[in-house]
Amino acid sequence: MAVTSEASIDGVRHRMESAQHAFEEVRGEMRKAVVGHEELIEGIFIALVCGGHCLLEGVPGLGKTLMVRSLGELMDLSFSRIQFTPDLMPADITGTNVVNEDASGRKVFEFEAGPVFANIVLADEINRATPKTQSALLEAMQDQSVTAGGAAHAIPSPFMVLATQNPIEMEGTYPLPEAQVDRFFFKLVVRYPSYDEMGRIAELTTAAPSGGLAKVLAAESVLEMREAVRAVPLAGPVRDYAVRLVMATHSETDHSTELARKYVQYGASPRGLQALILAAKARALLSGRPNVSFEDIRRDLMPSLRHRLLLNLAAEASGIAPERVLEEVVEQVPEVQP
Amino acid sequence: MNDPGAVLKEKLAGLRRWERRKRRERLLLESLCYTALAAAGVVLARALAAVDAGLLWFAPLVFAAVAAAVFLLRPWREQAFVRSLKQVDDGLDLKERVLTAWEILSRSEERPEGRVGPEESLVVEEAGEKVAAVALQPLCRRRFTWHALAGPLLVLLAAAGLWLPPGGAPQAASAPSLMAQAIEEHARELERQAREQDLAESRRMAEALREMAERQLGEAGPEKSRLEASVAAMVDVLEDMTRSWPARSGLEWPALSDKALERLREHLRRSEAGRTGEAFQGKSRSDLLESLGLSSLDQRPGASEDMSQQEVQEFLDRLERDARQEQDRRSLEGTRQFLTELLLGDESDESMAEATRPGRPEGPAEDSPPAGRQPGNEPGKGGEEPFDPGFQARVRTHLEGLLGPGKSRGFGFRGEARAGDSTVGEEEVVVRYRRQVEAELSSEEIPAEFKETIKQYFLSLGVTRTGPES
Repeated sequence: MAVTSEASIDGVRHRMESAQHAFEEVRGEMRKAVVGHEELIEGIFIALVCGGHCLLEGVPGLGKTLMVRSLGELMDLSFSRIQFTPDLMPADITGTNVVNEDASGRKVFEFEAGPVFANIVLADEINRATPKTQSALLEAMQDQSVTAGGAAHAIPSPFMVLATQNPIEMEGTYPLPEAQVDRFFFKLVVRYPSYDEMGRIAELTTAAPSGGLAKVLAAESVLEMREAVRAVPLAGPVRDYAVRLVMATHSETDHSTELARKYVQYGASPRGLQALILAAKARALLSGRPNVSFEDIRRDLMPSLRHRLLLNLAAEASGIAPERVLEEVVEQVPEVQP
Repeated sequence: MNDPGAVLKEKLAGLRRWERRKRRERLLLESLCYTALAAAGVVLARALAAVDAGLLWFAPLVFAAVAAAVFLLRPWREQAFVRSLKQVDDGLDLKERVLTAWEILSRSEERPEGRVGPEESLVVEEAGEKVAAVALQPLCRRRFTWHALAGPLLVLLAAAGLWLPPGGAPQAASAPSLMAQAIEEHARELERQAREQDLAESRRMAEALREMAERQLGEAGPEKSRLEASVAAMVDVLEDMTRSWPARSGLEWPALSDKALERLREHLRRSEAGRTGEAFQGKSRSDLLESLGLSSLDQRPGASEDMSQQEVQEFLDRLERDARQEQDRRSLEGTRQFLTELLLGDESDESMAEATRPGRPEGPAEDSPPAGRQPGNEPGKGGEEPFDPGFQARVRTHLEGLLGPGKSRGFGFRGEARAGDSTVGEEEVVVRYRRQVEAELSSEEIPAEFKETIKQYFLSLGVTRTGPES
């Protein structure tokens, strides 16, 4: 093996430390505004450094919007919020061509960028908009550009959409199609805070407002981290483990588990595998480790794949959630193939 | 050697050798286990079914074949080494650094100049530093599967099984010896009886039997089949002898019990021949027989004619000789039945010991009636032991009929149930039954007024008399 120069290795070490430091700072600042939800913050940060988008699901009042808004605030990144409503139009998100007068007094069409043109976009209650409007946002998420008037307009990097949705109110909502849900890197479930956290929330939010959050993360740092994530080495057996986990959700394959065979109509897509491995790499980087471990894969399995499993009616009738299927997958798939 | 990559490479190469060695050991143990299992099976089969133990010499060949098959079917796979690397990672809490480093090192050999990126170098460096001061083998200890535990045990079991005598389990294995012992015991008893009662044929038969038994017992491993063949030949001889037995006095000897016969001989021996002859001079044969208690046995005409002293003397001499010959015949018949039962086999030790008494099957034993016929214990009288004639114990058979004064309408006995034609002639069976019934008639259990009726019934069966009857 040709020995790599110490300088290069030190450079890698420095990048890792920087990423860790940035994450710690973001987490520290977030704690000032948000109580608990450590895993959520970690998930959002991982999705950010992987270049993915997050779908946050939780009942109202759990601090989803606050969390995303705080994240946008503490990063030195542009932030915009779109409140999705049934009458929201695609142009309200992407922007549109408007008639303006130029310096010579001629009327010309100029593109008026919509709120999607920001580094962090909060799509609040995304399932309240019509599918047409949803798909406009999802197209922007996928291509990181908006086409208006025949011209493509690039969205600045880093670009991240954090969409929220309420799982209990189905009246007047338009559930996201599976194909569109698949475009979210992570689906994070916001749970109720614990007893202690509840007390701290009460204390924090009913006292005099404290100062704003410090900006601790620049766009360049995020882009650097994205590069670093992709460079994290992944051993073949660890990669195979991830593949087997994903394959285990496919009901028609030999790898599938019993619950998957019984209840899964469509298993996780290759995009899910990509998300899983990228997330594991990011987790390794943020842990200060130069390689991906089996544990990283396991920890990112749920947010990466839970929204990518389409269960059948039998599952719905039996009250089987995708999480249950994935739990069984983790239990039954061995780390190293026997 | 300060290069962590080189250190790691060397350590992992050592670990790989260790893993391959462990695997070889495991596969050999598995092969040993299967071979020992086969050997134990052969030993067991040898003990139970007299399988040739020479098969055990093939054990090394079987081991070689099994080992070759196991090694061929389960070749070395890198997956096994991956598991070891995982163990090292877990043991040192390295979070798959060693596993990743191993792959990086493997990949670097395929790349031109073996170049690796800085990120990969960092993994190798960290793994190398952690592993440098640690012995990896203890982290990947041998795991003993059930093969490893069962293999040596089975070898010991197979070796121990070699001490078992061939041809059956402990009891079954010594069956020829038991049979020979039983024959020897019977021969001794027969010889004693023949000597006491002056039975020439029985004595010769006893000697022949004893010789045969001693010859078998003298051999290291008596062969059951050979012994059985000898016994079968002896049975044939006895059958011929007893079937063609001469009867001269014209008396119905079978109607006389063993004890009565013995008493008669004793009486004839003790009595002074001259005085008896003189005392009966001018009297008839029926008078003489009546005085001896044998009047019911005489079937010949002319019983009322008067005899001279010489005729009386000659008649008494003949009577004594015939009684002795009848005893001889019964003794031989008993021996024949004993040997037949022995041949039919699988009698318990108890029944075999019981059967070693010569002369038991024929003639009622007056002094010691069977347990099922003890007073108050007759069949149907609530006795705990059912009446069970000493037939060969095979299949329990039920016969309808009133045997005694009890409630039972039948009794059971054990008979040999075999498919196919009977090997015993009808006449022989009837004769045997007739003898039995005559023996019963001579006992006191049957009222005297019914004796003649019962006898007539059997005579009415229309079978031609054979054997010792005149």
